[in-house]
Amino acid sequence: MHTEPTKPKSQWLIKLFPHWAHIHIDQLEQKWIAVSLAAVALFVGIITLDALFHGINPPSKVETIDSASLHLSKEFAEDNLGVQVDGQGKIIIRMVAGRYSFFPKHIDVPAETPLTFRWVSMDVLHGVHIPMTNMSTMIVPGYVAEITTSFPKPGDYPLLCNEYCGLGHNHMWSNISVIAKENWKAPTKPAATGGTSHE
Amino acid sequence: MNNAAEQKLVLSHLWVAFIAFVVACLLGEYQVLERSGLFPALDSTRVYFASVSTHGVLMAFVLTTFFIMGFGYYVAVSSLKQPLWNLPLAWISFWIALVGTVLAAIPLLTGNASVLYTFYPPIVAHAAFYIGATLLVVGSWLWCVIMLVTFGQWKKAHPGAPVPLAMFATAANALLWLWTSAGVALEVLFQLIPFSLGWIDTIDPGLARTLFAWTLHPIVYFWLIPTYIAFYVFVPKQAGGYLFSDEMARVAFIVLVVFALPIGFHHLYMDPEQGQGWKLLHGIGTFVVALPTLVTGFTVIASLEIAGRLRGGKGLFGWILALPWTNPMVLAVILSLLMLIFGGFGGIVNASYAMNAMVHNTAWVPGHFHLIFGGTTIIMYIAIAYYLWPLLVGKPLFSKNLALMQLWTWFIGMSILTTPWHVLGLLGQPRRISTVVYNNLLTLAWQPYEFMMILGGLVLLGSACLLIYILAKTQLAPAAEAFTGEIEYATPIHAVSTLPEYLNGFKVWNKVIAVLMAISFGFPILQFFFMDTFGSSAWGY
Amino acid sequence: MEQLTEEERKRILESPPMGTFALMSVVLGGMVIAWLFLYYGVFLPRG
Repeated sequence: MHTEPTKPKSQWLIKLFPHWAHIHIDQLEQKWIAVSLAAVALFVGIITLDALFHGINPPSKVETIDSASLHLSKEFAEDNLGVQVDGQGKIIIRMVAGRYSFFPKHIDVPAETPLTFRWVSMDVLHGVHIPMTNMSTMIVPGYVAEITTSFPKPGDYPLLCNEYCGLGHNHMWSNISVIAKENWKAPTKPAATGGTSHE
Repeated sequence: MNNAAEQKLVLSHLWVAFIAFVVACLLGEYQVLERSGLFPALDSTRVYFASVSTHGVLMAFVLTTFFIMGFGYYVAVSSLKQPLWNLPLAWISFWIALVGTVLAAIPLLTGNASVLYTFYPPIVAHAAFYIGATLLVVGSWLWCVIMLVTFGQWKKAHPGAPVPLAMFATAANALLWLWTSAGVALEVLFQLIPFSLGWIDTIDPGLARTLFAWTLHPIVYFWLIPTYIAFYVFVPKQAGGYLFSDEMARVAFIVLVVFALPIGFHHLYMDPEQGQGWKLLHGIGTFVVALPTLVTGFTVIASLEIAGRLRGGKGLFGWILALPWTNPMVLAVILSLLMLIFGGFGGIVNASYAMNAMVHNTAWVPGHFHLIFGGTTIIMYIAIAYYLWPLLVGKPLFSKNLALMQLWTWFIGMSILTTPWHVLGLLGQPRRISTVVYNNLLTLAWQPYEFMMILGGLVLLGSACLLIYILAKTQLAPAAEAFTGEIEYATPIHAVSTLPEYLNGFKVWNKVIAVLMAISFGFPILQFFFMDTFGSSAWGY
Repeated sequence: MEQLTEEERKRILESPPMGTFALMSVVLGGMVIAWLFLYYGVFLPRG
């Protein structure tokens, strides 16, 4: 009594795999598979195009460092931490995570400007994020976590540790002030290159 | 399964699972009370982190593994209609797993393994924790052997015949578990046990996280597959209908198993030790594994639609109300699917590569996995228990109405618990904190959500206790009449007489998995052995 | 529960599940919209 009008589009799965003809796949289910594939393709497409052409990627520079001797390294020695501007005008922020804070404990950065954070741990696994922003990264001992992002809205924000790092994890946080671009002044200390310079 | 020895095997596994479950529920409510900060008397970081470590291990490793093993034995016997192969080995598996569980529980409960259920180094727990966890996994591997040998033997004895769907999926799950657990096994055997015993001084935390990430995604499918098995082989008949498509069910299980494995890096999106290219590759794979769930939704709901229409439901959606909502299995699948919509959506957000920064390690993450696991997955474990208990103990279910109430309260409690949890994540609350002590106005916005979560947790705790009550009463209380029912596996609308080998076996899929794993994890793991890495020494907490 | 004729039964068993398709399309559509809202409305504006 019920004649199934075989719309070619709905039998696309059988056409693709002809030896599936004897496996009964309902034509509406085939349609659903096509719809699902389209939705997945949309998500994957947006994500991939944004990754390849708009630089929208998670932090991913694979760079190692000895977490046990940061104080001896040129880059993460204590007087080289915090916000600096390099020779090309790029703003680089070097931070150390250690039980139980982020150092330096307070930093000032300009809004709406690309900022490159370089994070290291001096002890265990940490994670850090600034609420309401995309500044989020794991900090794995033995590795430098580099992330470039920008903050659209000026204000005072906390940096919160978001990975269990011991019984003091709840107390692990620091502060960042995001200052309107026109009001922010670059720090006067030059970026450390080879040796240490004390002004 | 009429054999008393086999029934005892299954019941032993299921009781370990559900006792672990109710203890963990109690710990869970303590945690949400402590975290709210409203009860200063409860304030104790030490107790909190011991609790959350125990809670995680019990829910994620003990409840699941024992339930899956017990259910698997039941499926093997009842769907293939034959006695269990090597019952002594099954008992050995049980005891190894149980001894391991107890061995790990001791340091957990005494605060010597407060490393959470992910145990990321270089923080290190007492060695007994890792050794106990290893034994639990080794016990489960013996279960896998029994499942796969049973599968192979049946196929040999019935050449060309389609393996009953329930056993096909169970064997697929056993195969998945062997592939999945290899990652954490490597991490525990070569890094964490020697590290915690002091045999090696340093390990690379980046390698450890990568090996754990291998396991961390497919393990959730190991947990989810029994839920999907119930969807396909029990629900349609309980609803009064037929399975919409046996073949599409097999396709879904295969794609699930194959694509659950090579995608672990969506747990490492924010990590520095892996590069973008690999993360994007795993991310795309993660979207692929959403497809078999979308297909499962269709096949299962279509089966429900047929059942509802056979019961007189009319119009585009009239069949929904026509379903037997007072059948616990049917109620459970409806509630499970509702939670799958939101839990699944959360998963898609998590999978979305760079957008993961919005939610990574915030409260959104535990909100998500409590909903998808504690909700969608576990509510079907409960429904399976209500279905199997009368078959196992020969007495009717103590009270169908209490069972329905328990299922409803589980759903309501989970909804109240997890909805604010997701919001807290979007408002920036980190995960794995035991209390809120940030001197920041932002945290004031969090308080009403914390309070709601206490209520959700209370409902869940009550529901969990009710579950134990129903199961215990069913088993122990004298019954007016014996239960003489038999297990009823759903039949497909279109009977399956022959199947291509790739829908009836795993030889080719094993090879596909091996290739995909080599592509997805080969270089990312080998890189650690070619880079100049600096190890970390052990740290306490 | 009314008794169905053999013919009605057969028709139900052979019909494509329109209710399921409609339901799942709405759900999937909702997810796509919600995802786009989160991606373009929350994630990208956060910087």
